[in-house]
Amino acid sequence: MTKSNKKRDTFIELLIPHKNTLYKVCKNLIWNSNDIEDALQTTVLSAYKSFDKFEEGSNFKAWMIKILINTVFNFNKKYTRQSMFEMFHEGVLDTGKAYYNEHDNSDMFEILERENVYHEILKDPLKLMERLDKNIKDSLLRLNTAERTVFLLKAITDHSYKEIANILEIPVGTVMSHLYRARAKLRESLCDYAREAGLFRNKEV
Amino acid sequence: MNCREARQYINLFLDSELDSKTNLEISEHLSSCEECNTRFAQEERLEKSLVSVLKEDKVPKAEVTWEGVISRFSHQVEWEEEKHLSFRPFLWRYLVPATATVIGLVIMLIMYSRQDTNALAAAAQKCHIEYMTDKIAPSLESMFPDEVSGYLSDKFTFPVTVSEISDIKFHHIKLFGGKVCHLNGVSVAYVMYHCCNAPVSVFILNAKDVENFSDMKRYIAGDRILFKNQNGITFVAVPTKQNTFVCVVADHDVELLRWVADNFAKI
Repeated sequence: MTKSNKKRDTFIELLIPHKNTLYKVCKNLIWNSNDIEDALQTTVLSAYKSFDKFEEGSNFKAWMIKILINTVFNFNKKYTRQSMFEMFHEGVLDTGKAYYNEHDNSDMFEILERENVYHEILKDPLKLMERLDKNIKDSLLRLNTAERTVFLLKAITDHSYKEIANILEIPVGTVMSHLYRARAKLRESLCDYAREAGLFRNKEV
Repeated sequence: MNCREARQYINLFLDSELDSKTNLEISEHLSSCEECNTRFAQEERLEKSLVSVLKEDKVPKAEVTWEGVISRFSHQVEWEEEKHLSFRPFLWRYLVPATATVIGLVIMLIMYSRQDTNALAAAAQKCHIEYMTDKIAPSLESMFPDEVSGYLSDKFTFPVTVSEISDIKFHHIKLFGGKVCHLNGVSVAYVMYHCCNAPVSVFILNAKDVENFSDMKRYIAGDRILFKNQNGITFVAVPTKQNTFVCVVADHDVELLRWVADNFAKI
């Protein structure tokens, strides 16, 4: 009795510091916000059940995120017939670019390079960010699942490419290309938003 | 490294995902190229503000949600442990007694087998109890020793002589009858007496057959054998001069049994 109590307490102790990170990842990745609590509950319980398999000293946060991501995708599966594998490999397989290649993808940032608005944003991002909160979410929705997942994991959890690759069980190169495209697309959205809002108008040629 | 090359690695550089060699080359370029240095800083700032919007995303519901999740989790774990523990009373209530019973049975079996089902004393005592409880009756009822002797002698290869037994200490021992009976598959002459309303059994068996009984092998060297079972039924065995063995079984004192046995042994 005391032994299992100790196990539970250790588990909760490890869990507490990552509460907010887990909540944010869950909130941002789950499709139906009504599922957040259920998904977290399921995650915590299934993590606890396999807690014996968790090696002490290894990355608890990454381990929890992995279980969370799997749970969240299982919850999302209710609304789609697409599997997690398809979500992360579809685009890559379609374009035949299985691995990140800076030269092949550079066109996305080159397009940005030609946009004056982008340079204005770079000079004064706060002007845009102050009014952006909700808009970022909309921009994120324009990313596909794979890109959004990788970008959010990078942004919220601060994991390395390798850790993200382990969590999602995809190659590191795929993480890179998803992240690259996500960042480029988000920046395009920022430009669109800035143009629509009329920011930097006076400076635009 | 030129500006174009450096800018290709901007994401990897800012994410600290480059190998140390490339990292160093870019650092060197940035320190010499003002334009790239500014651009890298701007990109970093933009990425950070993008991320900060997500990171500092106020999640007022997070605390409440987690409280609920953790308390429910604790209950769930406790409940599952109780379920696990409730298995233990089951263990104590059923499994342990069951095991104890099995062990007890095994011990009893060992004791029983050690008690020697092959023992003459046990078989004779069993037969005596059957006589006592009227489960068996003599095939020849007679008060006359000669008649019983004659009846039994015809049935055995060894001589069976039934003697008249005189009173001992005012106990009158009365002949009742005789029959052939089998103790563990060995044919013996069974002579029944009565004394003070209690039956007295006398078994006469061939000395050769005695070796079939495990307990008799041990006592064959001695002339007198005495057993007493838990019901107080005493067993006495003595060899006779006619190369037979006489066993007397009765719920009487040993002295009376010896007296009966000696009457047979004398012949």
